[in-house]
Amino acid sequence: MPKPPKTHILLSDIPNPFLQDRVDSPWQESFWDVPDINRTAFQSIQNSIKAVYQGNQSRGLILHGEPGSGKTHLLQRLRFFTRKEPRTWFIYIPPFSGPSRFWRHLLERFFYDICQRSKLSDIPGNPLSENPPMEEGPGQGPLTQIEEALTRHLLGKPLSSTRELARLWADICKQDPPGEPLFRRLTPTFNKLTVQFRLDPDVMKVIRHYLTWDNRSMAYAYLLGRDLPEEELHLLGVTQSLDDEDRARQAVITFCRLAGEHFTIILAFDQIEGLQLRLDDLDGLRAFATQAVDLMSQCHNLLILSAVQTYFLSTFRQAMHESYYDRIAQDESILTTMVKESAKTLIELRLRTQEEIANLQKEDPKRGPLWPFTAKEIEPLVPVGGVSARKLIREVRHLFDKKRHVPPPPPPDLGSHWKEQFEEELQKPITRLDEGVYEEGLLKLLEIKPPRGYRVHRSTARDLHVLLESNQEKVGVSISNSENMTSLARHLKRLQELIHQKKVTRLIFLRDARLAISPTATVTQQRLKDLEKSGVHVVRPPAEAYAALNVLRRLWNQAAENDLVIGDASVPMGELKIWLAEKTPRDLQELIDACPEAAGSIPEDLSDRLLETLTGQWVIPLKDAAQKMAVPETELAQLIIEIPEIAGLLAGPPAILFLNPEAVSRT
Amino acid sequence: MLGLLKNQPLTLTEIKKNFPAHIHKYLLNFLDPLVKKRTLKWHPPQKRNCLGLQEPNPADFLAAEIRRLFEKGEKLGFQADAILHAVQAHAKPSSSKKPMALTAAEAERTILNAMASLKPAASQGALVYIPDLRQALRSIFPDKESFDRAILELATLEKVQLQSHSLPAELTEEQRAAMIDNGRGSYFMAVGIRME
Repeated sequence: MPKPPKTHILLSDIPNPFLQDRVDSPWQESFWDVPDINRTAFQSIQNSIKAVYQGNQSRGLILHGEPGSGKTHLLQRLRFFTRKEPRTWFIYIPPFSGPSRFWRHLLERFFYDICQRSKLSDIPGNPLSENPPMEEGPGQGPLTQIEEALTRHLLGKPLSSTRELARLWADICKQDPPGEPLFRRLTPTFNKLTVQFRLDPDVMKVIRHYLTWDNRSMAYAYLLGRDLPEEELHLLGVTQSLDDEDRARQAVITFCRLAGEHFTIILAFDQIEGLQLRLDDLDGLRAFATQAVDLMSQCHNLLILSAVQTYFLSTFRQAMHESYYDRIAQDESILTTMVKESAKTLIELRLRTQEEIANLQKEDPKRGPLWPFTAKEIEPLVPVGGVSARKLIREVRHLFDKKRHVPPPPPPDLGSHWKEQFEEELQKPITRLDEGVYEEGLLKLLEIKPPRGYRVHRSTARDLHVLLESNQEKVGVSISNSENMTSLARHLKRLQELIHQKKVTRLIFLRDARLAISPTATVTQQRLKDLEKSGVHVVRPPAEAYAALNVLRRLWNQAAENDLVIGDASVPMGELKIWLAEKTPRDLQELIDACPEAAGSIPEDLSDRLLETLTGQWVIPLKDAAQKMAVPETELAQLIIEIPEIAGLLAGPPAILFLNPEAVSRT
Repeated sequence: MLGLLKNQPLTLTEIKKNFPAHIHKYLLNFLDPLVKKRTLKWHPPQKRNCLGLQEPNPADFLAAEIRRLFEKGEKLGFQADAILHAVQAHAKPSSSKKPMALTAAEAERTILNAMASLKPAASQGALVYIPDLRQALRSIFPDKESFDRAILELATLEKVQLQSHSLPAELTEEQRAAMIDNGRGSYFMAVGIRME
């Protein structure tokens, strides 16, 4: 009898089923789940959902666990659960871009998600058709979350099957052609709803435009919070965009009220740790708490879910008033580390995702569901106290490669990871150029590369987003991506007043290069010219800068959550910051260079004096060098970090400077 | 320095090789505070003392002895778990301070009751901070060693889950001492009853 082929030969052409070790978003479609893992944590969330719609009162829930223990995965399970649950909406909210932008960020995410087709249709599809039905107009294709809620109101019953709702919506949409006729037909119904639920009339009007396919893309942009040009606002029949916090808040409250009573809107705030610029920066967390509690008091159908790491709970509590914390952490859902049995179950599931492996397991019953592994190989991977799912998957990935005799791939570095993420970001379609991306990205960038002699912080003044303060001056950065020329003109006028009132010594005005300023907008053009004449530096960053700042924010948020994993290595925040400071990606450096006030280059004479001090000495205590150069020790230490090509610093005590030999060879 | 010791512990001589000669005399000045803060840890000598980022792992030093023990045990027909229990039972009496002769079942009951009184939801899996639990059980486990061992035993039996701190470098020496070393470069900060 011929010998069966060896394991590595059997596995040689099969892809490693353990390559994916993270879920980036709950909206990700690939979903492998073992419902028994974290069943209790999931049950807690389900209990809270039920408590909201039964009690008709909003609740807060904290979902927490170790890094890699499956927070986003559990949110994905929740999202799939809501597809079958007609009484829910699922909204996913990654960290918002600064404490002053909570409502605008929430509005964007909220509307984006309620337009998703999250509900499973119970209308049987054509078994011969592989593709889902194409959406070509109103009432076509599966219901979106917002269509489902609206139809429920029209039906006048609290609950109905998805099939019944979809049929009713399709019938309504058939009564008139899409566009203006359908828009007009739905006017009385929408007006009635507006009064009944105390909704914002403008927002309801634009929702009607969107749902009836009347100027749909404009309506979509408006409801995402874009500041639209006046002619587009006119077409939609409204006068103002939703681009300020008050209007955005009103719109969010309208969406929540539109969902109705005995309903649960799950607002899942993920990576809360990313709201911090530094460990002592609590502004973002405080803003989150205040606004979330405000929203809970306005609407009775919310489950505010905050996903954090367990260690972060104490910081979270410290950032807000105790009564707010009690509200936000009213319920708790705790992710569990895996034990030997659950680890084996997870591995079995992953192995089954590869059909070839499943077939090989079936071919020989002796192999068992863990084949090509044995229980003895898996159990030692679970230490005392348990293991996180991500860590386990990573270890098994190596084990699988070993079985196939495949050498481990070379570890990717931050540079190539950045490049990959940046290319991906550049390809993404953009519906709204968020000023918050510039504000938060710049703050983070300047936190890493602070201009010499300046303190960088968020501004609380209207229209000023970032402040750089030194003993002598105060430089403000103002950002506007408004597409509405009247709004932009007003913004520029307020900047003129700021300068006139000497609120800042100098000003940088930043506007994305893709947003043209219309030549017919004469007032705007004139004000911009006047500002430039008065010394305001106008910067028009290209698409690459926007993409780079978005990548910076994403990596930062992941690192803050101990969730930045490249290859097998977890990259801590410190390492990311050092890499960004030393190997600043070109597009970020160009952005800094474009703002000379922010670049704050090192005075040449100081680096020359340092070189002079160290030449011939090679090594000198920091204190002595500072005395010799007549600069404060802290400033000198900062200088050394910025110019490693001249010297290095040993922390001490005593702190020691040493000369980089290459600096001497260059002179 | 941290990068240098990231992957493996090194002897002083090996560390010195990575720095120019004129720096060597300052190295101890530099290392001393890191050792005091327990960012770096001295490892027991094999050939020479080493410095590493992680706590020394007894398995690295006793690998041959452990292998022999299990091989002999298996020859005699004992399961690995039974041998492990025997080792744990052997370790118990060696504790210098043994305040109460609690059986494993008593220790489990005591700990779980203390968790529930600190946080009523603990019986449904809510986490309790280990420093709080240590404080609450001070009269029963007056020394760090006995408390840590009792908790780790419960974890070994999969009765509880332990959650590690994600930023151990941010912890003070006092905070670290109040938690339990997880042997993987961090500290268990919270314990919860396993519900599944």
